[in-house]
Amino acid sequence: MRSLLVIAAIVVGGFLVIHVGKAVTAKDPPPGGHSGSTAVSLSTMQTYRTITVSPTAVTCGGYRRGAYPNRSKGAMGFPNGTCAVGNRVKGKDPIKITYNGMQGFVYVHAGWAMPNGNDVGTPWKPCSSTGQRAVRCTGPNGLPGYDQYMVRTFSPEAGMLTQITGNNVCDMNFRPAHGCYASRGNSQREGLYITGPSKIPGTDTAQSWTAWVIWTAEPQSIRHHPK
Amino acid sequence: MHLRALAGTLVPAMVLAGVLAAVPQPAQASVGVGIQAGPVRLPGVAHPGQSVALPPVSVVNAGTRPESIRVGVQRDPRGGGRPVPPSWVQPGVASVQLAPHHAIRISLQLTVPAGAKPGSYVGDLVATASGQLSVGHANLGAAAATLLEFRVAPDPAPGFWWSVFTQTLWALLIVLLLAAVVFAVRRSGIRVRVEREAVSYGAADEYGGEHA
Repeated sequence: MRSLLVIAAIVVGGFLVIHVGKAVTAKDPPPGGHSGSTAVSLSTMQTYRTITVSPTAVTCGGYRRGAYPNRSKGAMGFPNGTCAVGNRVKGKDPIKITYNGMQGFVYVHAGWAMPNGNDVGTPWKPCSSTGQRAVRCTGPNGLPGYDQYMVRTFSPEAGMLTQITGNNVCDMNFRPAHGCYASRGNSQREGLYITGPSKIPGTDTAQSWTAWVIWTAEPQSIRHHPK
Repeated sequence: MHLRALAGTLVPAMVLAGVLAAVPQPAQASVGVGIQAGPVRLPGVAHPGQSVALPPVSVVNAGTRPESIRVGVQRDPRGGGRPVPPSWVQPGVASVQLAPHHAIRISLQLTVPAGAKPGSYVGDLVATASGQLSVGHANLGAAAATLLEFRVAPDPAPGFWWSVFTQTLWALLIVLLLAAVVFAVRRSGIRVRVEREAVSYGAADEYGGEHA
């Protein structure tokens, strides 16, 4: 009987210790303590990774290609009409991308081109003449197919164009000598070439479209982090 | 004479040039965003079926205009670890309006489904400032990413086992207390006698029942 009571007491005691122990916390040290103190002011480098793009919107001009009668100098023609933001040959690169903060990479992708306002139109998806099948252009000779469009970036330092899709890819134009590697204060001027679809549905009435191109400041890969 | 004429021409031109230089030219609007450089890393491990708070992430509007900035998860384009399903991470706010060069911390909640595979998960936590839509143009946007890392343990949350342990302990305690009470009563010599008394049917007759 006595041993049974002892066991019960141990169990109850242990249970109380576990629960009451949770509520016990140490007191905060007194502010300032007993010793003298002095305020130290210091500056640190920027701990954000930022990217800025200017201007916020650009106009695509210099319309070319398409086939009669779907060809115009004032609008994108079909099939595969083109327009340009800037001029690679004349060295006009109206978009400025600036990277700041800890070193990383500059990636870029394009969004769907959407019809404006109440216009009826099927969105155009960005495609590439190379790369994964999911984003590959389905038109002849690697050109955009049905409801597809192509965005290519150029910069004064790069010898070739970079095709961009809906997936983030390294913007090889940002620092051609270092891939898309970027560190504090790096900037680049770039322009765009846009190629339209081979054809669009006959029911589409939209004559004005809005496209997105987004540059992303990316951290270094997990592989590059010493652990 | 020539000097006076030259001065009369040059001075106004120099004054005009000075004035033009002094007047600030309107800066081109820019869209910009920043995110903390350090990765968002869950201390410890998450367990399947558990919902835990991730450390908050800091974002800043680096552009020249007020921006609506939203935070979401994207696949790490460079690979490494299991990709983080975007639906697992919910920011405290869907989007936040920030004035130029203003920053804010956004809380994050990680919900790991019960059937989640254990291992190391890696993704990009991306803050996107898409700017104001300019109809009929090629709109330019900016985004900034930081790494999101956490580990999922193979077993359920420790809270589960703790609750099982606590309930078991309570049940054991009650049984022990009951047993102690029973033994104490027996040892004290107290006896409770329960007797059954036979009840005879037909008692109504004796107490004046009526008969037809």
